[in-house]
Amino acid sequence: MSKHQYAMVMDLNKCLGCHTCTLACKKQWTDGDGMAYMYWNNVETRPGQGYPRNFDRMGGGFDVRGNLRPSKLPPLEDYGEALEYDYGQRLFGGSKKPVMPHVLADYGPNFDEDMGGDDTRNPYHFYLPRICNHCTHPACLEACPRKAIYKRAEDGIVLVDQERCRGYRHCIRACPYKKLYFNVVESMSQKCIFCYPRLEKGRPNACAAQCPGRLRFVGILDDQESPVHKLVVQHKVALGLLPQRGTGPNVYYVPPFLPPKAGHPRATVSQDPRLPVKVLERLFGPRVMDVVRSLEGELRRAQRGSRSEVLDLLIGRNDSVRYALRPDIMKRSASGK
Amino acid sequence: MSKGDDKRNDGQGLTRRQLLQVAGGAGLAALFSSDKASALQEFEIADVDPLKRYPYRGWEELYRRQFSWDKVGRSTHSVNCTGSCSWKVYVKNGVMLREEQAADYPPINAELPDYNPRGCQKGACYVEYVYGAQRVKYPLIRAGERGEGRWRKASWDEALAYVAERLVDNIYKHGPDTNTFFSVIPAMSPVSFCSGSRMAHLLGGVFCSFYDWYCDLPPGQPITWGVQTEACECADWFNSKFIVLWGSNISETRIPDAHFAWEARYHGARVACVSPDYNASAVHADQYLPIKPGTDAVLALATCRYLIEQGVYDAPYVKEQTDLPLLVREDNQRFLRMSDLGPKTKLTEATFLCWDASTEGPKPLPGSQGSVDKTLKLGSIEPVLTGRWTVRLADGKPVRVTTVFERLKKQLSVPLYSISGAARRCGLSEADVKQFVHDFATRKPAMIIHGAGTNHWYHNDLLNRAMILVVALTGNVGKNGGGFNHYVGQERIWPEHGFKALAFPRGGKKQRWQNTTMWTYCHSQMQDPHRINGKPIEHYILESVRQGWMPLWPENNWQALNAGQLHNLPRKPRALIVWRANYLNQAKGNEAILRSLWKQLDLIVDINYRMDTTALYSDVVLPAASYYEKTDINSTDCHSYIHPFSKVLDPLYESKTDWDVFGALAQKIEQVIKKRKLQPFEDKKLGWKRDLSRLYADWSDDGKLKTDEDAANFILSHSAETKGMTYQSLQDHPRRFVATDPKAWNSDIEVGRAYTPFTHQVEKKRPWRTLTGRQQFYVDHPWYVDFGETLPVHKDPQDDPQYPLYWNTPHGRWSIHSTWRDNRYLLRLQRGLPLAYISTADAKKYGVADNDWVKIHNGQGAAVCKVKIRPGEQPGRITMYHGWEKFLGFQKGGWQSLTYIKIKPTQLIGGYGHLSFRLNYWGPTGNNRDVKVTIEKYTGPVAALASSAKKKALK
Amino acid sequence: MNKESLILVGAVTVALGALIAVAIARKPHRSGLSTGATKQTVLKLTPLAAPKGTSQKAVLSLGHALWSKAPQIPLRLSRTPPLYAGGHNRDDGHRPSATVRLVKLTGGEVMVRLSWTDPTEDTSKRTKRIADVGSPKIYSRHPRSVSGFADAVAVMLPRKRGPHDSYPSLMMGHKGAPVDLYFWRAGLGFQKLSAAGRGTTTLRRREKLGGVARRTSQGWVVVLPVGKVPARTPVSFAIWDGKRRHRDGLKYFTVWYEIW
Repeated sequence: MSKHQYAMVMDLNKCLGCHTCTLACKKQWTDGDGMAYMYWNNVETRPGQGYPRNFDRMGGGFDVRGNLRPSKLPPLEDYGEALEYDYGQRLFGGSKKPVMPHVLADYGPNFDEDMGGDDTRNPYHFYLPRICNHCTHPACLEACPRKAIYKRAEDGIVLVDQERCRGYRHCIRACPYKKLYFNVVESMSQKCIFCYPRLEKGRPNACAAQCPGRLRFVGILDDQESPVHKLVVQHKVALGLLPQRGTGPNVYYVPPFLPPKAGHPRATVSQDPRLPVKVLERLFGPRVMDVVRSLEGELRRAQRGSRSEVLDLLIGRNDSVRYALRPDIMKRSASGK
Repeated sequence: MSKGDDKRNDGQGLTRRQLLQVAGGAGLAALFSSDKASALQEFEIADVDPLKRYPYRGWEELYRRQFSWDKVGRSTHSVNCTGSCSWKVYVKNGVMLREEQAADYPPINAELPDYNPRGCQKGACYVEYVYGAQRVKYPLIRAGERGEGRWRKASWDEALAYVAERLVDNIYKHGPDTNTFFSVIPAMSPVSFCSGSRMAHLLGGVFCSFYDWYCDLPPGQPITWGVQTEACECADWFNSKFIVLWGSNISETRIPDAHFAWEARYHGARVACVSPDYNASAVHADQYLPIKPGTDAVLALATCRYLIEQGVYDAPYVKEQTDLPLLVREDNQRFLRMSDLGPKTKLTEATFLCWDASTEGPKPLPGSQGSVDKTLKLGSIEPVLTGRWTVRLADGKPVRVTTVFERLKKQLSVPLYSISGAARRCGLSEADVKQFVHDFATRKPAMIIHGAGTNHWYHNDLLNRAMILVVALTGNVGKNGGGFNHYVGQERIWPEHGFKALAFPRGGKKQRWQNTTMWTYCHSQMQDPHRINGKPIEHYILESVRQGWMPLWPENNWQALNAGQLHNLPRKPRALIVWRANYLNQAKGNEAILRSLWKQLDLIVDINYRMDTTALYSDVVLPAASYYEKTDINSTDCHSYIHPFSKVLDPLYESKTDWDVFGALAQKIEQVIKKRKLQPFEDKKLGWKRDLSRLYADWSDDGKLKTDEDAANFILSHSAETKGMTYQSLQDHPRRFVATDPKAWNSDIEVGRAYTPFTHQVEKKRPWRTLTGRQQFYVDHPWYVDFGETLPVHKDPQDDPQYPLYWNTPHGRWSIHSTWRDNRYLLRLQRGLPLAYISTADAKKYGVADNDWVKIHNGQGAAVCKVKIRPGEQPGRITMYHGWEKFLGFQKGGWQSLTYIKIKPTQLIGGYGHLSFRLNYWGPTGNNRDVKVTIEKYTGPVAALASSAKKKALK
Repeated sequence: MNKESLILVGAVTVALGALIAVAIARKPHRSGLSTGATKQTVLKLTPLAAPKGTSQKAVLSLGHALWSKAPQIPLRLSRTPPLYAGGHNRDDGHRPSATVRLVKLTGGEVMVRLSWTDPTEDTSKRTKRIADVGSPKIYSRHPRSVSGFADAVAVMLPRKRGPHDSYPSLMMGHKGAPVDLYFWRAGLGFQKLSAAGRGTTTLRRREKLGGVARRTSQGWVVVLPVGKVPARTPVSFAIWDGKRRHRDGLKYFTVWYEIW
C-alpha cells in the first residue's frame, strides 16, 4: 500500500458533458506524435458503448481469487481514428469538393454522445468522464512482465516508465477501464499521470482545474480535511467505477439522479426511476442506490430550506473547497529538482 | 510587405508541431540518452515490487519538462458566446503551446460560488487556429470565381489599394450609402469593432445590425421593459429558489455559467427544464417538461391564469410595477389617456390612468413618458385591478373602460390556457403542468433562464411577453434570484459610453444604420410565401419604410415604389465589408443570397484570421491577427468583470490587428483621394461635409488613437463602469465594474451583491423605460390591435405545413456559431461531419439508419449530410446544431439552405413611445425556428475522402 | 485480492520460455532442459571464417558470397506456454522453418544470419513524425493500428563470452549471469539490449546496433553482428510472429547452442 493515496471525486450531477477536461488533458499531455487517437481523459454518454467501444464488457481486472481476468486488446477501430482534414485544398487550392475527413468515422471517442437509453417517452442518459483510476491494486501493474509500471509510494499515482516500457501491451489488456494506450510512434504504453507535475506545483490536475462544471474534487484520501475523504469516507456518497473488477479504483463518482419520469413530477428516484437501476448498478456496484437515495433525501431537505452539509461541500464554492493538494508529500526524483 | 513585417516572422520556421516534439509531447525517449539509470535496472528490477517501491524515477522528469513554459500571456476569445472568459496562453520557444483558464475572477462574496474556472473546451483549443491550416496568412485577392478558393497572394499595399479604389468609386459615383459594413457584437472586442465602425461612420457608409438579425434580441424586452436586453449576471442564479430553463440549454451553451444553476440546486433551488429534447441540461433538472415545439406561450399563459385564478400573484408589485392596472377603452382597445379626458398635448397623450379605489374614479398614474412625476411611487393612489367602469371623454361621450388585468383575465379564460388545455396543446402531462405552476406560485425568488431555443421562433415577441408576464405577476422581476434572464449573444457592452464615443464619434444621428434582416431580405431574391392578414410581408416593409419607422439603405424614392419592387430596387448596395463575423455562412437562406445579393455586389472584403465561408466567397481577404495577437477588452452580460486580449505574440505571418488594418485602409483611402484630387462633398442626408483627404486624421482622432491600446484606454477612461482602470491594469486579473452609467443601466453595481437588473425600478421606484413607465404588457399600437397582439397570446408557428418536420438549428456545445466548427480537435469528438439528429420514431418512419447519409429538403433548398438517431430528440423535428461551414462535409447545400427570412410585421413598427427603430434594439428579428423540411436516405455520390492512404491493417 | 494469489500470478507470469513451467519458475537459472547441466545435448554452431580483410560492412550485405558458403543450420524452435487466459496465446502447433548461418571475421566478430518463414509481414511501422497541419502527408501518417504486433528476432549471448559450466537462464539470463541481446523488430529496427533475468531487459541506448533485414517471399532474412565471440560461447535464438500477437515471452525460441 502506498503511504498516501491521491484520489479524485467527480460529481456526475454537475457534469455538463462539455469535454473541457478532455481538451485540457489533450493539449497538456497527449498532443504529441502517436497520441492523437488517445484520450487519457474522456467523457462518454451512458448508457453507451464508451471509449474504447465496450471496454466495460471486455473483462480485465481480477477475478475473485485475485487472478487476472481475461480481456482483449482493443483494435484502433474501437477507439476511432483521429480525423484529419485537408483544408488547404478547398480553401486555398481551388479544389471544388467539400472538405472531408480522411476516413468516415464509424466509431470514435464520443460517437454515442447524447444518445443514451432508447425509451421514447422517457429517454435517459448521463455523462461519465473517465481518467485512469490509479487503482490500489492496478491490474496493469500486475500484468506487466517487465515491472515497467509502478505505484508511487508517496502518493499512490500509477505510472508507466517511459524508459522501460517495451510496448507489450499486457497492461492494456489487463486494465478493466482500458485506460492505457499504445503509442505506435514511441512503441510504448502511455496513460494518465494524474498530473503529478502540476500537483507538485500546487496546481490541480488539468482536467479538474479546467472543469467549468466544477465537478472534480481532489485530495489525499487519508487526509481528513480533504474533500475526497469527506465525500468518500465520511459521507460515503462517492463510489468507484466497476468495483467488481477488483482493482480498487481511486477515482470516485457521485452517482447521477436523473429527473423523474414524465407525469410523475414528485416521484423519487427509487420510486420510479427514469434511469434504470441496473444501469447504475452495473457501473457503480450494488451500493449505488443507497447513495442515490441518501443524496436525494439531502436534496429534498435543501429544497425545503434546510442546509445540507454534504451538498454544501458539493457546491464547491471555490478552489479551496474542491482541492486539498499536498505538494509537500510528493517527493521529486533526484533529477527533478 | 515591409521589412518590419519580415522581421516579425522570424523564428516561425519552428511550427507548433515541431515544438511539441521538442517540448516532450513526443519523442519522449529521445530526451533520455543516458544509460545511467537503465544500466542499474537489469540487476535490481527483479527484486522490486513496483506496488511498493520503484528505483528508477529519473524518467519522471520527462512530464515535468512538458509542464514548463517561457512566457504566459492573458487573452480571451472574440466569438459572441456570452462567455467572456479570461485565459492564459503558454508560450515556449516563441510558439503558443496551449491555453488554460486564468481562473482568477475575484469572488463577489463568500457565499456565492466564484466564476472560476471560466472557459470551455473550445477556448481550450483555440491555439489550433493560430497555427492551423485555415489561417489566413497573407493578403489574398481572388483569382477565380467567388467561393472557388483560388487566390493570388498580394502585398498589403496592393490589397488595400484594391479595396480603397473601389470604396472611393462607390462614394463618388454611387453615393456613400452603397458601401455596407458588417461586424458583430462589440462587447466581445470593442476596439476591433470600432476600428471599422469608425471608418463606416467617417465614410458615410451603412452600418448593419446583428443582434436582431441573428434573432438574439428578445423583442419582448424592448416591448415590455423598454430595454434592449437586461439579465442578471449568472452568479445571481445561485440566489434563486426556482429556476426554469426555458429555451436555454445551459449545459451546452452557457458552459462557463451552468455550474451556478446546478449549485443553486444544492442550495435549495428546484430546477425545471422546458425543452422539446432531452438534453444535457434536462439530465440535471428536478423536472423535465418535453414540450411540443412552438407551444411555449401556452404553458406560460396557463401559468399566468393559474396564478391569477388562485390569487397567488403579487398584487402590490403588479399595481406598482406593471401596466396591468391601466385602463383600456373598450370601444377602440386603446389605453385611456389623459388626452381622452382633457386637452390633447404630447404629455397628455403619454399619460395613463388607473381606477383609484380611494377616490372611486380614474386617476393618472405617475411615471409614464408624459408624466411629470418620474417615479413609480403610488402615493395615495390605490389602483384597482379588476372591474369595468364608465368614464366621460373630453367631448362628454361616455365610454366603457376596464383594466389591462381584466382584459388579460378574459383572454386567458379560454380552454387552451387551463391546466388540461395547456397540457394537451403542449404535449405534457397534467401532473407535470400542475407541478410547474405550483412551483411558480410557491417558490421565491423564481427566474426564467431564457435562450435561443424559444427566442428563434417567428412569434418570439409573444413568447417573450408571455414568459415575462409569469415572473412579473409573481413579483420576481428586479429582484436577486428572480426575473426573465435572456442570454443569447454577448450583446451588452458595459462601458457603453466610451464605446459609443469611440465607435461613432459624431453620434448616432450622424450614422446610417440598417436592420440587417430587412437589408438582406430586400436585397436578395428570398421571398416569404406567407400572407399576413392577406398581404405579403413586402407590403408591411414598404409601409414601415414609408412611415419612417424602419430605415432601408441605400436610399430610394419609397413613395414612388410598390412592394413588388422591393427585391429589385433602383439603388442597390455595391460593397460589403465584413470583419469579426461570418455573414454569409450564418445568413438565413444563404443559397438565395449567393444567387442574388452576392451577384450584385461589386466588392466583398473579409478581414479574418481564418478562411471561413464569407472569406472564401470574398474578393479580398485581409489577414487579421488572431485573438492571441491583439490588444482589446472583453465583457459580457453573464458577469460583471472586464478583462483584456493581449498580444501574447505579435501578429503572426503578415497579419495585422483590426485596428491596424483599418488604420492602414484609412491612409490608403486618403492617398487615393489625394491622387485623384477628389474634393470634399456635402453628405446632405446627414448634414456632414466629408473631407476624405484627412480620413486618417479623423479616424485616429489626430493621432490620439494611433494604437489599439490607445483605443482601449479611450473606452475605459470614458465610461463610469471602468473609472480608474487602464488597459495595463487589466493584466493582473479581471476587474469588476465599479459603477454603472444610469443612462445605460437599470441597476447599480454594488460591492458584495450579484448584479440583477431593474433595482432602479423596483427598489428606487424609477419609471420603466416604456411609454407607460411600467412593465408594459399591453401595446395599443394600431398594428398590434389589428393582429390581435395587444396582450401576450399564443399563436401557432408560422410554418410550412406541407412539410412534416421542423428544422431546428440551435446553438450547440461544439462551436460558437461557425467558429470551432472546423476545428479538428473538436471534430474528432463528434462524428467528424455535419450531423442531423432525428428521433428513433422518425428514423423508422423515414427509413434512415444511424450514421446514414441523408437528404433534407424543402422548397428553399436541400442539404446532404450524416444523420444521428437520438432517442432524446422529439418526433416531428430534425435538429442540426448550427454553424457548420458550408464547405465542410456537406455533399450538397448547408444548414442555411433550408432556411429563409420571415419578417414579422409587429416588429416593423415605430413612432410608438419606446418602440422606434434603434440598431440592435428594435427592428425585425431574423427568426428561423418555424422552418419545416422532409428527409430521406441519400444514396448518391460522396466526395472522396481527404486521405490518399490505403488502409493497411496491422492486427 | 489476497497476497497468495498475487504470488501465484507472479509465479505463473515468470514461467516463460520453458516447457516445464513450475519447475523452472522455482529455479530459473538451473533449468535442466536447456542449460549446460546436460552437456551431451550441446548443439554446435560452426561459423565460416571470413577471408582476411573482409569488413563487417561487406558481410552485412545479405547477398555477400560468404553467406552461401556458410553452413546452414536448421533451428529447433519451441513455443512458450500460455500465460494468460484469453485465446490468442494458444500454441497452435505451428513452427516456422528457421535456419542460421554464422560468419566469423578475422578480428573474432561473429555475424549471424537468420532466415525464417513467416507468410505475413507484420511491422510495427514506427510511424514517422507527423508533419505539421496543412501538409497533405499528414493523412497517411497517423497510425492505422494500435493492436498489431511486429515480427521480430533476437540473438541472446551471455555477457561472459566463452565456455560456460552452466548456462544463464534461458529466460533472459539471471542475477549474476547477465545476457546481451541483439534484437530486431520489423518497423522498429535494431536494438542492443541486456538483461539479467526475466523482466529485466534493458535498452542499451548508447550502443547502436547495425544490422540488416529483408522481407523475402517466404519470410525474413536478418543479419546481426553480435561482437567478438570466443569459441564455445552459448547462444540462443528467438522469433516473434506478429500475426500471432507474439511479443515479450510469447515467441518461438531455441535452447542454448554453442558457437564453436
